[in-house]
Amino acid sequence: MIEGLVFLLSMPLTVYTLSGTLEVVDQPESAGRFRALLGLAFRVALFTILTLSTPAGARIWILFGAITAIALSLTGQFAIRYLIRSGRWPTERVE
Amino acid sequence: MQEPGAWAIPLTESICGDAGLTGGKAAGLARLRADDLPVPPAYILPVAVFNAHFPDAQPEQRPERPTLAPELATTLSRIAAELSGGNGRKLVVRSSALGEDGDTASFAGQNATYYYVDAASLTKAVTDCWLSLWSEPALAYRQANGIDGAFGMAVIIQQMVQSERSGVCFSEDPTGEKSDHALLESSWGLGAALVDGRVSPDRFWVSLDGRINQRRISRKRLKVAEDLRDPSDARLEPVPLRLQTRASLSDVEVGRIADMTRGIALRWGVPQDVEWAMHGDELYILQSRPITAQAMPRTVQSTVDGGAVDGRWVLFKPTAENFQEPMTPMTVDLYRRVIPPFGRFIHGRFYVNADLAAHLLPWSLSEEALADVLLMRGAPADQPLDWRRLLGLGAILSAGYLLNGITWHRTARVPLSSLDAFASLCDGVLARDDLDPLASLRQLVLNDHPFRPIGEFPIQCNISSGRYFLLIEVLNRLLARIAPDYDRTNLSLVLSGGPAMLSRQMVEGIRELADIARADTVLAAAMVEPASDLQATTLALGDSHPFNLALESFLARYGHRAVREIELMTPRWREDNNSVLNLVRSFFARQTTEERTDPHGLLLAAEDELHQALPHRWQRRLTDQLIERIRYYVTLRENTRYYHTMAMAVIRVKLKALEQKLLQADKLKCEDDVFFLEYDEAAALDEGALDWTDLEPVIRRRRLDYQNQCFTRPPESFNILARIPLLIPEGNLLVGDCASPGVAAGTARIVRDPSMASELRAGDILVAPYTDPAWTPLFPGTAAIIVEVGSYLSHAGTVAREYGVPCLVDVHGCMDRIHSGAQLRVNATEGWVEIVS
Repeated sequence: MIEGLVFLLSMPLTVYTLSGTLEVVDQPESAGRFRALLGLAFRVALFTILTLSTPAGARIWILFGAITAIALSLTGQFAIRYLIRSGRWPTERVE
Repeated sequence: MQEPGAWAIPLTESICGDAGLTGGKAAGLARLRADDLPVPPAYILPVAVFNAHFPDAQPEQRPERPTLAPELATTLSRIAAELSGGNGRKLVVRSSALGEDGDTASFAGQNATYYYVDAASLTKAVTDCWLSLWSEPALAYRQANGIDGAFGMAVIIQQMVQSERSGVCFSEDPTGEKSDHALLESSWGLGAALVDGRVSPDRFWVSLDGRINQRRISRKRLKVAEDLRDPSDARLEPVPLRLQTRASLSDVEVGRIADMTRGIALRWGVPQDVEWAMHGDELYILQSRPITAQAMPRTVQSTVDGGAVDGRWVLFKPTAENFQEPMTPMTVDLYRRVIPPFGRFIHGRFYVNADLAAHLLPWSLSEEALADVLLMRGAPADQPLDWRRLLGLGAILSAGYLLNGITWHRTARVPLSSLDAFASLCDGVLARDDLDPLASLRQLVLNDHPFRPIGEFPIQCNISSGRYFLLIEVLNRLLARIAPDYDRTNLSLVLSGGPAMLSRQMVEGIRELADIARADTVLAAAMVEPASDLQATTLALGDSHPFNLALESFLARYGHRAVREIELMTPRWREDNNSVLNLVRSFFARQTTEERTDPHGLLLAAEDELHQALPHRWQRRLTDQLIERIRYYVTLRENTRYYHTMAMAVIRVKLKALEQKLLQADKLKCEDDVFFLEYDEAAALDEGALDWTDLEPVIRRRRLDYQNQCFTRPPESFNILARIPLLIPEGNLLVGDCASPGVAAGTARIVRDPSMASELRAGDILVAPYTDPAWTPLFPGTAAIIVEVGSYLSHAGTVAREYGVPCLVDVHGCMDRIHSGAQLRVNATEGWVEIVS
């Protein structure tokens, strides 16, 4: 039960934290970057809280959740783009 | 060879009126001539001459080219000499087949017509005309219409009118749009361009009492060259820019042609379809035939038979509200290769899959309610949730979050200036010759590297920023709870994007140009004279004139924009600055320096009003926080449109380069033909796998389809019953959805294209079929805006809220029911408009 819950929670948290990393890169101005860094720190803190509040035996499921989220986020994006780019997924046209 | 009674008969002979001897078209011309109508002089080669050359003519057996009888050859020389008047005047050779232009079948465009024929080519034109009876289209037409009777053809040899304007006039509107009106279509040059569907004609609806009740002035970009030497060559040339958007007929001329057409219909007792031409002030009737179903190639039903399309589909509003015309086949073909298949392009418009949506939505909706949701008319308030579907939706949203959550979060604080990265990306793609149009589009839209700066993903930012709609709902509910007495009329103004919005900056650019023009006597005079040629006036001022410098600067920033900018065939402003000059003229007419509205002052006043309604500091902080977020997303969404249209401008440049290559290689014959091909067809043409003869009939058919679709409203749905919005046919009240609240009264002004000159003045109510960002310079100074297709999210609403102008969208029937000059009362807050007089 706890493993499943931890797995489900860690997935969106991974996406949230990953986006936090990229938001830092997206900010060209130092003020914006500082704010984004604060946001990233907050997300890392959330991840830490999740890890610390999870029983040691179930922590491996946080890792599984994170890996699944990263795999879905990356391969999902690439797969959709690949399907469309390669012409395997064209929208129909009725003349 | 059995000799006919006569080789050629002058049109003035009464015998020409016998359709059994001279075919339907020639008989009609003879009747017109007998009625003293201005028909150009002509001779008829009767059907007997055809029979003499093709004694055993059968549709199934295409004969060899015949050798002309010596008597006919002599006769043709004599006719050519007589009709050309000894000054080389050109002739036209037209078919007049048995049964042609009859009551039930017109054969319109099926048999051949040859223009610019001279004495030397007359013999060939006559034999070609005869042989066209065996052409595939003509035979298919006979088969499709069950015509198996007499098979033969007379030929009309007529003096050619050097048409400066031409068109057709129906004594009764065959589209059914205004069946008690005559419908007149007109364009520059020879009428063949109309028949080919390459020109969108001007349309005038004339009532029985001779009044022009409605007019649609189209952009007429092409015409048949007046001095054309070889009719088989590229037959069209560009119309000068200043004439493209000008009406091709004066009101007096429209009345004259409509009267003449009605006179013919009255005398002949049948509604008529008259082909006319004008040279100078001289009007000529070229043909008249009964209106038949086949004689209306440019008309289709306003709703398309759902049986032709399987599944349930609903029109996708975010594109439909930007322009009513369909997208061309090339535009559709390229776009369909880069968007996920959650919908389908039907007749050039994008429809979403209602069957798929019905499975995803958490309610069991009736058909009408489902269509309402997909048409963005609001979700049903009292539908019970289906928990199983809700769970399914939750799972899909979670999966969606995992796939796209990174982009979703990254768009929360995009520095607006970072979107310029996309402009650099566009420049890079444009400079790369190795990228064809399709590869360029894929490069720009399906970016290879999802971890590039978010500024390079304007389309993703645009989609994600649509969340402001949810935040507005949250704010509305919050205010209803903590400040129930607050009048939310001005809330829309508070939520507007502010000066960072590029649409607003564009309006300021037009305002600046209008101010410069106001300070210059020559320009000011040209601006107030509707017939003046602004392009010529500005050119005469020289490059260093402040107006031209400001115009150049404006085009450097906004030159990639245009009306209907999603369509790749649309010329961009930098290609045709006439549109911008007309916007400046319109702005000039609406505002003087003293009368301008101050959006910032209005915003501050509205903010004060809201703060006063909130007694506690925490309430103000909370609402301010929400408002800041909403303003950010509104601005981001509007600004991303500015950027992703850059991609469309890049693809257009690449397509035009391909078109130039094909035109120079004689693989295409006419400008813009490339947009009526699919991308693979254009590529095959380029590679030599196909040639012009393979694709000409395809282009011709698609152009005609496109013309048909341009003049019809797209069906809102296929195979699903959409709610018919409340419309009281006999009343004077129309209803719509509020996009910007407020009340107003004033004079209605119908505008169909913002780049054309209009009579819109300060205090008028703008009535438009749709809007896109190019319309926004028309908004300041207007009393209210009424739009036929749109939603709260549309540009009309977004920019109207910027200026505090009441705006009503989705007002069905407003373009038909409201006429320019009508007095209106608008209550956008409550969602109605009343036609007072």
